Parts: sequence; C-alpha cells; structure tokens
Amino acid sequence: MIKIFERLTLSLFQFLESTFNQIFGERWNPWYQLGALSFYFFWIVTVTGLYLFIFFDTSISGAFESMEAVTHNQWFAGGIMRSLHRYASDAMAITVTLHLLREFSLGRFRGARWFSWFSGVPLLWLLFASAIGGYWLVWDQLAQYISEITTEWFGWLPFIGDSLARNFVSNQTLSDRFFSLLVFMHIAIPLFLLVGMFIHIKRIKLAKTSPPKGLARGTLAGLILLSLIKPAVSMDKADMSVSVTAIDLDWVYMNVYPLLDSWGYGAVWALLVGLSGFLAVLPWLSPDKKKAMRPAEVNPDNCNGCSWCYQDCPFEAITMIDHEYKKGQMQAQVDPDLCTACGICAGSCPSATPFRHVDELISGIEIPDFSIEHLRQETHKKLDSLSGNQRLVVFGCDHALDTDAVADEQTAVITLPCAGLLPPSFADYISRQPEVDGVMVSGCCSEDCYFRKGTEWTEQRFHRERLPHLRTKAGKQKVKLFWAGPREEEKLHTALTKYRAELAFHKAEETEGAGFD
Amino acid sequence: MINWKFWIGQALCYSLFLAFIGYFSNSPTYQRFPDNQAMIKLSLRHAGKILGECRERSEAELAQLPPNMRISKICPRERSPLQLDLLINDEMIYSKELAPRGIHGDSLSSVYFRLPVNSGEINLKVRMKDHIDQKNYPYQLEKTLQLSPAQVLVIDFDANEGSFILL
Ligand code: HEM
Ligand code: SF4
Ligand code: SF4
Repeated sequence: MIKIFERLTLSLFQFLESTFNQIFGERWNPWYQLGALSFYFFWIVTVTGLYLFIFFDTSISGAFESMEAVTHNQWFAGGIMRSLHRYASDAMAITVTLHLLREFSLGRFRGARWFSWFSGVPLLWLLFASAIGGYWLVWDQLAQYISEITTEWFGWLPFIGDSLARNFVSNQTLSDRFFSLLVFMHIAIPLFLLVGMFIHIKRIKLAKTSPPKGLARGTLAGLILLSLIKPAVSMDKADMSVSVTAIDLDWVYMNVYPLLDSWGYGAVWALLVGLSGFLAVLPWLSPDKKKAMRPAEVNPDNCNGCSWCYQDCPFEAITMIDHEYKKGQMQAQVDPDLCTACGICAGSCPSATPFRHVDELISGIEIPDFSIEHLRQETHKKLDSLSGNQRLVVFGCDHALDTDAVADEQTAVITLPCAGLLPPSFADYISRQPEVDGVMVSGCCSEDCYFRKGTEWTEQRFHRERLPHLRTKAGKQKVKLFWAGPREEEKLHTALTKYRAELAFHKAEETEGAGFD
Repeated sequence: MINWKFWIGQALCYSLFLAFIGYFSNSPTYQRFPDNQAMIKLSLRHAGKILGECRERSEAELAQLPPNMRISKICPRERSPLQLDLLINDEMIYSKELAPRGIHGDSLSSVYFRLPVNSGEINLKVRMKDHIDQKNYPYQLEKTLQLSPAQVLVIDFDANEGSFILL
C-alpha cells in the first residue's frame, strides 16, 4: 500500500519535474529546491516579523489597533511587511508539505536516511503552531475564533482542562497576562522551529539551505507583487460578547479547524497524533524489501589517510582516525548507521585506480555490494561483446534515467548505485581500452542527485576542480558527462547521437590528417 | 534573444503559486453557524463544601503516630462535587455532577460548556448544589431574556456573592 502510493507520487513528481525543467531549467527548477525554499521563506518571515514587532502593541486592548495602524497608515512599508509575513508563511507550509511528499516519493526516509525524515515530523507541529499563534495576536474575529476553539481543543486534554478556555470566555475575563504569554510563544515557537530545522539537516553535508538566486529573486518579487495586489488585512476587532459566525480562514494553516466543529476534539486529536505517529514510524513500517546494500567498508592496507572520502561523503558518515598500524598516519572510518551505501567515497579514493598493478583491485574504501573489482570485471565482460566502429561505454546510475534503454551492440551500459562511485581514473582507463571509442558518464540532473552530491562531485572531479582529477589528456577528450532526470531518456539519445557524430568527425579528421603526412 | 517561452512559462507558474496562496489565505469564508444563532457559555469555578467533620484522634491512634505528628484534631480535606443543572425553556440541557480536582479531591470544581441556541426569547434556569447532602438548590437563577443573533451569553458564578451572574 505504502509502496503503491510511493510509486504514484514519484511518477507525478517526475512528470512535474521534467515539465518544469523545460520552463525553469534544471538550476531554477523549484521542485529541486523545496527544502531550500522552506528555509528561504522562514527568513522572509523572520525579517518581516521583526519589523512588525517594532510597531506591535502587546496588550490585548491595543494589539488590534496597532496592526490596523501598521496596515493602513504605512501601507507602503508596514502593510507590505505584514502581507509578506503572512504570504511567506503560507508559502512555507506549502513547500514543506511538498518537500515531505517528495522525499517520501523518493524513498529517502529509509535506512540510514531515517534521521532527516524523523526529525522533520515535529517541524510540522512547530510550523503550524507558529502560524496559528501569529493569527491569534492580531486580535480580530479570526483570532477570537482561534482563541475559542484552540483553548477548547487543548482543554479537551485531561491534563490541561477547561480553565484554559475560561481565559477567553468573555471580554471581562480576558487578561493581558495570558496575551503576553501568547506573544512570547509566537517568538519562542519559531525559535524552536529554527533549532529543529538545523537538527533536521545535521546529518547532511552542505545541505542546500538557500535557493539559487534566480529562483529566490523571482519568488520574492512575486510575493511583493501579491502583497500589493491583495494586502493582508484583519477582520473586525474581536468582541467576545458576539460570536463569529462566518470566518475568513487561512485554509493553508487552519484546514483542520472546521473538523473541530464537525468531528469534535477527540477525533481531531486522534487524527493529528495518529498521522504524526504514522509519519514518525514510517521508516520502520516500510523498510526496503530488496535487501538494502551494506554500508561502506574501509580497507586499511589501501588507505593512505588522504581524507578525500571524508570530504566527499554527503551524509557525514566518515571520520578520520589514527591508522590501525601505520604510525603517524590517518585512516578513514565509516559509521555504518549513517552510511547510505552510495559509493561516492569509492569514487574519491586514490587507491581505486585500475592502473595499479595488482591482481585484485581493492579500494581503500568501497561498498561491498558494488566493489571496484566488481565494476572492473563487469565492464570487461561488457566490452567483450562490443562491436562496430563507434563503440561507447555508458556508465549510468540506478536512480536517474534508464540507461539500459540505449544498450546495443555498439553501446555497453553499466549501471552504478550512483555516478559518484566511478573514480575518474576508472573512466580514463576504460577510455584507453582498444575496444572502446568513447565513454559517457550519466546520472541524476545536477540539482537533484539522489545521493545529493554524486553529480556535483563527479562534475568537479572530471573538470579537475576536485580531487581525484581526471588525469590524462586522452581521458579528457574521450570521456563525456551527461546529466538528466528520470523520464528524460530522449535527451540521452540526442546526446549519444551528437557524441557519435563528434567521434566520426574526429576520426575523419585523423585519417585526413594522416593522409597529408 | 530573449526566450519568451521560458519567461512566460515561469511567469505563469509563479502566478499560479501566488494566486493559490492569495486565495486560500483567507477564502473561502467558513460559515460556522447560521447568522441568526446565539450562543450560551456555561463557565464557572466553585469549590464544593468540605465533606465530613473534624474529629479528635483517640489515644491509641495518637500513640501510633511519630511524636512530631501527634496532633489530636484531624480534618478531612475532600470536597463535595457540585451538582449543576441548566434548563432552557424548561428543557434540561445540562445536568452534571462536577467532581473536584486535585488528587485528594480538595480543589475547585469547574465547568466550561458551550451551547448554540436560536436567537430570540428564551427562559433560562440554572441551579447548583455544593454539597451532596443538600436537598434543595441553594443557588438558583431564573431569567427570561431576548438573545440577539450571534450574541454570546456567559453564565458565571460569583463565589463571593454566592450567586450566578450573566455576562
Ligand atoms: C520546516 C520544515 C523543513 C525544512 C526547512 C526542511 C529543510 C530541508 C533541507 C534544507 C534539506 C536538505 C536538502 C539537501 O540539501 O539535500 C532537507 C532534507 C530532508 N528533509 Fe526536510 N525540511 C523540513 C521539513 C521536513 C519534513 C516535515 C520532512 C518529513 C517528515 C522532511 C524530510 C526530509 C528528508 C527525508 C530529507 C532528505 C535527507 C536525505 O537526503 O537523506 N523535512 N530538509
Ligand atoms: S557509501 Fe561512502 S560516501 Fe556514501 S554514505 Fe557511505 S561512507 Fe558516505
Ligand atoms: S579516500 Fe581512500 S585513501 Fe583517502 S582516506 Fe579515504 S579510504 Fe583512505
């Protein structure tokens, strides 16, 4: 059931992503930036919130009027700030929800990746509590409705009781003290949210917390435009002696509130606690059926302590420790609980080079289910069956587009857990085999590597911006990189055709050149 | 050359996203009650009378206690639950025994109860006992009043005056 839903959402996202790639380009595609956009909206809300706080009267008698003054007397500043504060909060709820769904669809909640998923769940509560607390402070009829129903809803809990609701029962029982507590909470809860957000990305190396400039500018400009077209305003001032019969709800944040009226408080508690609990245990409810790959292992004999793998692991799973037996040297160590078995570390290890003169190629670090030796044997097997005069080897990735579709007698395809597993020296080595005319390395599109950094590191290694480099000139000429999302097989066909045309051109040039000599 | 398809496509996507936020941030209006409906809130706190009388400890009981705790008079702390009834137009709407709070049952009893009613004229009767042995209701209020649409009528209890109040 979970798996079916996962597959459905995945194909929906893949469709949206490839459509948006055509409109925004990969770099600005918002679907690849949902976590980063959430951070970005949080900062917009923080800055605008600080501005509003300067003018906000924290007493229950003055709160409403102070917000009215900010909205109308300085519409060009405070008014826009208020609208941005509201709309960026709404936008954040939307991007966070989509982010959750997308991470779910990609199965990024299983195995070693459970931590980000699990720590994301309380963020939902903190986010909604922050927003609803904000609406409460405006002290208009929406706030009156929130105060009545929220206090009753929490009062339903036996350890809280109905004294909470009594605070808001009539104009006479309202107290500044309770209102100050609300103001305090509207600052404290978002602070907890921020702390939670940092815990959420703690196990992720170089987490993407800010969207690319183009997307950030476009979004901010859009929010400002919306603020001008439809400024955020209050309802009438709260008056506890008149009940609010029709309410302009913010449906993004208060979508469950009508259920409180129709289902009752216990049922809504059950729904929300049940749903959160379900999300929290999902990593263990739905573990990977295909036996998950085993974590990376270090081979101390082949580790020289260079720490390149340590720098490249996208999940902070590697630490450097004193070498087991080589005095004064370091060696890598893997925390199996954090390792996702992406193999990116193997791609970074200098000892993974197949140019070494050894019988069995053992890298300083590699994943046991897909070792460099296994890669070498697999590749050689495939090379043997190549024929024709434009023989290409395509290295693909399990999580990107389906490279197997391009396999034929002229094209050998080897699929890796992640393109980042391929050491540049390995591509170089294959490109020099007599039965090979060219090599193409392909994987997830640059903004959206399944293992986060595989594409980026590969790109940098092959362009000699990151160690280990693609060393030889021959390698540079004969190895091509190609990135695309799933469902973009068409692009790979085009790229291969173009590559073949280039190869034919070079070959013609070479033979012509030879003729002149 | 400017790629129009690219920019128009983006503008369209941004517009959709912002229109969604702009609309759902305060629409559609949620009609919670019919506009002519009024509301009664029964909300009060009151401490029931203490159950039982103080009494003297017997010599034997005193001897069993450690010397520093030998106080001859003991008084129970447990309070009586309240019996609270609300009748509207002579129909019993609410009738409950309200247990005192606190682990020893020695604290206040309280109630918060909200009831939508039609606006217009209503006859309201509310009565309360604060000791289980009471035969009659020592606290009572009866009133006929005109409720305007959306009016919130709060029934509270002033423990100092010993009487119900309407807010
Ligand atoms: C305040 C709300 C949230 C913010 C600001 C946020 C932000 C982020 C960011 C910036 C990343 C790193 C992306 C990257 O660099 O690859 C991330 C990853 C992730 N988030 Fe969230 N997130 C939030 C809520 C959630 C929620 C509610 C869930 C799910 C319950 C969730 C699940 C995940 C998962 C599974 C990852 C991927 C970790 C991995 O790649 O192994 N997040 N989030
Ligand atoms: S396989 Fe290597 S790079 Fe990937 S998570 Fe494990 S230790 Fe890190
Ligand atoms: S990259 Fe290889 S040699 Fe360098 S520290 Fe890691 S395991 Fe050791």
